[in-house]
Order: sequence, then C-alpha cells, then structure tokens
Amino acid sequence: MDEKLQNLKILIVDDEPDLLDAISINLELMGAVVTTANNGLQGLEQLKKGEFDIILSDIRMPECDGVEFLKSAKEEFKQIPPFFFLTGFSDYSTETIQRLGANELVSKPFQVGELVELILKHTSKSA
Amino acid sequence: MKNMDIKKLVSSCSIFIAVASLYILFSWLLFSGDSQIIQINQSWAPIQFNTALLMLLSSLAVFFNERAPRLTSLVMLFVALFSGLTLIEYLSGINLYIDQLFVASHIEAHTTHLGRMSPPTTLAFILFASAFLLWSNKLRFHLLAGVLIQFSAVLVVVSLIEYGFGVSTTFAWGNRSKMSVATGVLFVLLHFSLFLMVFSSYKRLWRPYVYLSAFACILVGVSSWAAYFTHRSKVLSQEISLYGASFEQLFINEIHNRKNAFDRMFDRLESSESYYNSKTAQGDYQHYLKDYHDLDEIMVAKVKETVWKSSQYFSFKINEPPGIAWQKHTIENLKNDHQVMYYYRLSDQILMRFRIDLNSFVDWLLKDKNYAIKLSGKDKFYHFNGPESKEFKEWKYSHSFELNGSETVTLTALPNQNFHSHDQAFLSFLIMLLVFAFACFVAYVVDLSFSLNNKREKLQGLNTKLDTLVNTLPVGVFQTDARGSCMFVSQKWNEITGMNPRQAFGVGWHKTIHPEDRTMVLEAWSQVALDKQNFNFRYRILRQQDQSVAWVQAYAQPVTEQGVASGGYIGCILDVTSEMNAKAELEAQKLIVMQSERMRALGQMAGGVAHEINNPLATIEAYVTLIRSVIGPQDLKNKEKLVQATHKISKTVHRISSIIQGLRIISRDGSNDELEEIRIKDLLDHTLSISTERIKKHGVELIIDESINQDIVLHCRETQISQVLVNLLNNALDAVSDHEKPWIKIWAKVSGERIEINVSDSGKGIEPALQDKIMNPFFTTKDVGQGTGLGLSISSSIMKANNAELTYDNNETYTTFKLVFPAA
Repeated sequence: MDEKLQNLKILIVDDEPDLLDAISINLELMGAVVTTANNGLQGLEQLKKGEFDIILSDIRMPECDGVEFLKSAKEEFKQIPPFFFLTGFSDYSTETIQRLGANELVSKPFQVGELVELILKHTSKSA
Repeated sequence: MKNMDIKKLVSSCSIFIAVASLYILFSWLLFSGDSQIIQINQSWAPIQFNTALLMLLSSLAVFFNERAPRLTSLVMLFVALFSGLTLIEYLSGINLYIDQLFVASHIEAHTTHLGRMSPPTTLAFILFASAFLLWSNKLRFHLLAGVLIQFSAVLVVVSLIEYGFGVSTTFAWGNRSKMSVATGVLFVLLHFSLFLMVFSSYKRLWRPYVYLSAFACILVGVSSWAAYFTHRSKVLSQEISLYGASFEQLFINEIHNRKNAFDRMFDRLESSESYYNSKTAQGDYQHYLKDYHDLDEIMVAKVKETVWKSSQYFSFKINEPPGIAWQKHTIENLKNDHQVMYYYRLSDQILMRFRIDLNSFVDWLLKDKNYAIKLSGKDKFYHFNGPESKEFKEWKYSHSFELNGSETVTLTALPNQNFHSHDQAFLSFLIMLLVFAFACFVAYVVDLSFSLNNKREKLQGLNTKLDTLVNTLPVGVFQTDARGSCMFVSQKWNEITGMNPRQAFGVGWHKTIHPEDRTMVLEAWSQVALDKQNFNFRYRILRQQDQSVAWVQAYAQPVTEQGVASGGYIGCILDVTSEMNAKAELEAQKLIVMQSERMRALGQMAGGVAHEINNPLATIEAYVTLIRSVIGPQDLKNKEKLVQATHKISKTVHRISSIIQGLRIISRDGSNDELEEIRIKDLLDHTLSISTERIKKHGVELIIDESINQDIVLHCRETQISQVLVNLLNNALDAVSDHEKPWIKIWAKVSGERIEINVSDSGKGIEPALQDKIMNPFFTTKDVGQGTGLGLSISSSIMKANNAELTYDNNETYTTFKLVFPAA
C-alpha cells in the first residue's frame, strides 16, 4: 500500500462513530495521522491541542455544527489548515461554503479515492 | 305654478264657497229666510235653498276629493241627479215636489216656481258634476272634463253678464226663475277650482292659452246667440207697442171678455150645481172666448186650435194679428185650484201674464152679481175687492205690475223685463270679447309654433347627446322588443361582438353567443323576460371577426312606458374577458402555490431522509473501500469476485444516493433559485432516478436517446425543469399504460439557437380539437378525481419562468411534448 498521506495530520469531525472509524482506518492505512472528534466543540479542543494539516468536518452535528465549528476556529486561530465539509445533505451551496472559508464540499457518500485526491490537491499547494 | 300653490288656491276657494253656502243655508233655516242675506238687495234674485245646498256639497267634494274620492264622487252624483230632476221639472212641466223639500220658500222675486233653482243653475250643476265625475274615478277623461267645465263656466258668466245688463231672454229661459248674482259668483269660483285641479293633475294639458281662447270662443258664440234673440225681442216689442192703441188696452179688453164669459157661465152655474166642473162649462168657456175674439176689433183673432189635455188643463191658440207672427195665447187651469192663468207669449217668451182666482170670482159673483157689472164701468183699472186669500198673498213679494196698486189684489199682471235698454252696451261688450278671443287665439298659435320649434331643437340636441353618450360608453348598448328581437345595437356593441347592426337585428345576435352557452343564455333570457325582471348574466361570445372567445357581462332592464313595462328591454354588454382571464390566472396561481407548498413539505422530508441515509451510505462506501484496499495486495482465492462485489456495493450505494438526490431535487421549491448551467446528462440522471422505477414497474419501455451530446448545458433551474419532466413522464405513463407495447422516449435535439428535449410516447397524438385547450388550467382528460388539470398549465408557466417553452408538437407521428430552451 502506498503511503500517499505520509505523516499528514488530519482532523475528522463527525457525529457518526462508524463513519469516523471507516474513514480514519482508510486514511491511516495511507499513512495519515488521524484525530477524530464527535462534534464542533470537541473539534475545537483538538485544534487547541495540536496542529493539523487538514480538517474534514460534517455539517449537521449536535451541540456545535460544522459551520459554527469553522467560524469559531477562524476566530480563535489566525490561520487554519484547509477545511473540507463532508455532508449527506445541507442547505448550504458550494458558494456559501467557500464564502465561509471552507475549501471543499464533499457530498456523502463519496469514494475514498476522490477524497484523497482532494486532500492531496490542497495539502500539496499549501505545503 | 307649483302643485302646492294650486292646491292651496283650490282649498281656499272651496272653503270660501262652503262658508258662504252654509251662511245662506242658515239664513234660510234660522232667520226665516232673511232676504237681506239671501237676496242682498231686495230687487235681486234670491239664492235658493237647494242651490246653496248643492253649492255646499260641490265645494266639499272639491275640498275632500283627494282624501275620499269614492265618497265625493257619490256626493257629486247626488248633485247631478238633484239638478237633473229640477231641470226635468222645467222641461216637462210636472212637479216632483223637490223644490221645497228642505225648506218652504217665500221669496219670489225673479221666481216663477217657489224654491226651485233657475234653469241655468241646474244646467251648470249638471255640467259641473259630470266634469267632476269624468275627472275623478280614474276615468282620465281630462280633456272632456275640461271642455264641460268651460261650457258650464260660460253659461254662468253669460248669465251673470245678462243679469247685470237686465237681460234674461235666454238664460233665465224667458220669465222663469233667474240665477242670482251670488250663485253666479260662487259658480265662477267653483269652476275655477275644478279647472285648476283637472289641469294640475294632468300637466300635459296645461295650456292656458288654449283654454282661455276656447273659453272666449264659447262665450262669444253663446253671447251672440243671446244677443240675436235680445235684438229680435226688441223689434217685436216695438211692433207690438205700435200695434193698436196699447198693449194695456189689449189686456183690458181681454179682461172684459173674460168677465162677460164668466158672467154668462155663472148665470148657468146658478141653475145647476154640477155645471162648474163639467165639460159643458169648459165648452161654454171656449165658446164665449171664441165669440169674444170674433167680436174683437183690435185683435182680429180666431180660435184656430183647441187642445183638450186633461180635466185640469186646457189651452188654445189664437191667430195673431198680422205682423206679430208668434204670439200665443194660452190659458192654463193650474191643478184645478180654481185659478186661471193667462200668458201672453212671444215665441217661448212670456210677454205678460195674469191670473184670475176662480174661487174668488165665484165667491164674489155669488155674493154680489152686480159687482161684476161695476168692473166693466171702470176705465183702466179694476178693483177686485173680494176676500183676501193666502194664495194671493204670495204675489205681494213678486216683482209685479199690479193693476190696482193695492195689496188686496187678486188679479195680477207681470210686465216683461225682456226689452232691455242697454243692448247697445251689451253688443259692444260682446265685440270686445270677440277681439280678445281672437287675440288669445293668435297668441296661442304663435306661442305653440315657437314652443314646437324649441322642442324640436331640444329634442335634436338631446338625440345627439344620447348618440354621443351611447357611442362613448365602454359598454355595448342594445335594445330589444317584447319578443327579444334586437332593434338597436351601438357602435361599441359592434366592436365587442364583431357583428354589424344589420346582422344583429331580430334574432341575429344569437349567433354571437358561444355555442356552448347559447341554450343557457336564451333560456335565462326568456325566463327573465316572462317575469319582466332585470337581466344580469355572464356568458361567452364568439367574436365574429376572428371567432375568438370573449367573456361579456350583460345587463338589461325592462323598458317602461308611464310606469308600465312595455315588454322591451334596454341593456348593455361589458367585455370582461381580461377580468375572467385574470381570475383564471389567479386560480391557477393559487393552485401552483398550493402545489409548491406540498412540494416544500416533501422537500423538507426528503432533506431529512437524505441526511439520515447519506451518512450510513458514506460509512458503507468507506468500509467497502477499506475492504478493497485491504484485499488489494493480498493473494486470495476468489479475489476477483470479492473485488467485483465491493464495486457492486459501491455502485448500489451510489444508486441509493442518486435516488435520494432526485427526490430532493424534484420536491424543492426551485422558483427562487438562480438560473444555473445544468448539463442535460445531470438533469436526466436526477429526473430519471426517481421515475425509472415507476415506469418500469408499469411494464413501459423507457428509451433514452444517447445520440445527443449530453454535455450540452442548459441555462435553467434544475429543480423546476425536473419537475416539468417528471410531470410529462407521468402524463405519458398514464396515457400509454394500456397500450399493447407501451414505450416512452426521451430525446434531445439541437437546432440552431434552440435546444429541445422531447418526451414522446406510444400514443398517436392528441385530437386536434383538444390541442388548443390542453395548456388551459383545469383542462383534463383524466377521470374525475384522477387529475387536477393543472399539470400542463403549471408546467407551461414554469417553463416560461425559465425563459423556455413547453409545446405540443403535432408534426410528430407519436404524441410528443417539447421543452424548448434557448441555447445557453
């Protein structure tokens, strides 16, 4: 297995534990270092603890949803890594998401390969 | 003059008459006939009790006419009957005992019959009462009533004039009772009141000139007639006075002769008691008279004719002396009361009369036969010194020429008053009236022609105004007769219906009614016309110019003539097409809103479902990827099959996701979305993802034409266009489901500036008659409850909102609807 995502630090925020597991395992197999959080608040705590190369977040979540999470992160940190939304359904269009500061809107269900492509695209640019 | 003023005037006139009449009636009853009140002047004719009574009743009838028309008519009927009976008394000479029915009269100046109204008074009452009855009782003979009043008024006025001039030739009917001045004045007021009432109640006859001139003409006519007779009387009287020594001498000789005759008669009376009333006595009397006339030297007269009428009455005529042609000599024995009345008449005019009381004669003769002989010895005057009797007393009050100047007269002669000395003045007055009447007539004619001209001009002006009004009105005006035949239509009516007046006349206008509404409209019309109700109906018409359908609101009202519906109608039609269209549009909008409300609810649900399902789908996908990547490098048995399985799972995951995506798209209210660039492929994928299953389930083959470059981009709102497509697919499915080999085909076509997406099915097209209607709201061919009839209508408006068009293509063999987009 090639390790495309060698040492890439990824934060995934989603309220669905199974989905978190499935994505994490896939990405870890590719060499990424994956941290997970169940909602926006937890995500923020993780952000405070350590640095990440990329953040993937669901939008609809209990307590603190993805959009609030993004806003809070932007307020607290001067600079945040590339930010992807993973969503099954939302009322936000791609344009709105981009205006908020997110880089991509990935619709669930997605193919892991496509997701990896997008991650690489954004991390290599930033790197 | 205002109606109120007229009423006040009439009321005050009638009150005045009533008060005056009451005053006179009371003076008859309470003051034992105070001649001061009744006659005013001792030498004037009295107003009789009956006259005053009828006058009171008439004035009350005029006053209370409006309040109690039936009662007043009865009262006037009584007045007419009473005066009619009095007139009959005069004409037939019989006594009906109505003259002194209410009060015993004793004033006899200008009176031949005690208590009896004078002939002109009775005539005036009859005419007045007739006019009153004609006018009231809703008989509406206004004109006839007016003429009668005028005629009656003329009688009254002429009588008054004659009375004033001392002429009674015509209007007192010889020496009969005369109409008094008071009666005349009250009559004038009474006639004036009724005249005002008649013509104020019927304004169209209000022509003062006409009535004044007519009045004057009648007056002149009657007066001329009177003047002629007056003049003639004068001539005759001159002749008479010229003839012989004097008329008085004639009279004296007559008395002589009577005396002689009676002498001889009473000689015989002495010998036989039964002689007096026997025929023999009467025969003797005639015989003696005959003798006398034969012997008479002055009037060589013969008994020409002897008429025996009854035992109480006999008369004879004698030949007149030459030159006085119509002189008649009549002897009447009144009611066998032993009075003999002598009249000297010229024509019907009494020149002189006297009477002899037979009783007193008899008494006197029996008492003193020699006294009679004394009579003949006197020269001119005869003194009858017989006993005073009650019957003679009444004569004291008469205006009479008494031979002996004594109050104990039994022989009275009344000289006639007919030969007036003022005939010159009377004639001059008549000529003045004639001139006045002529002037009135000329003024009337001039005024009439002026007013006619004015009226014509006004009418023309009014017509022009009316024409302008009718033609500028935004409604089409029409008129029909009682049977509903069109008689008139306005310019605007032509414009609305496209039918010219000539075509519309009669029943031609029926053609303008839309065939589907025609029966309904005509039935409604005939129903309304039957009850003479107002017509208010909304229906469709077929414009004749282009056979297009328009909505009109028709109003019509029955035409009335003097408050009565004549059966015809005048009405108008108002073009309400735009209103009706707007209404339909509004109705459609409402349904669209309802539809989208429903869709929004569905969309929200679909959103929730999408979220709930996509997350697990993502999990599945991620695990499948994991499995694939785990087994990738390993060498496993059946590895290919496993990898294939993982791919199939991925594919299924995407299919589920796609269905949900389609559901979301179709159920969203996309009307507020921005127009976006959508690939035909995506559009079809999303749309078909939810329709395919249903179509296949019905055993219908779905053919997607792949030949077109599906990357062509449309500029539209995907959600809305998907909805339209789904609607078309549903329609197609409903239409073909019972075909033998049903199919639905979606194919795209690019032609120049247009991009077309076509939905065809195995149907053989839509009937030409229905093609125009399918896009109308609520049009549906589905069974009741199956369809709303909104699908195509709403789809069409959605397409318009996307700058695109939904059309039916009738060039295709199979039923084909086109979504036509402009090239992006």
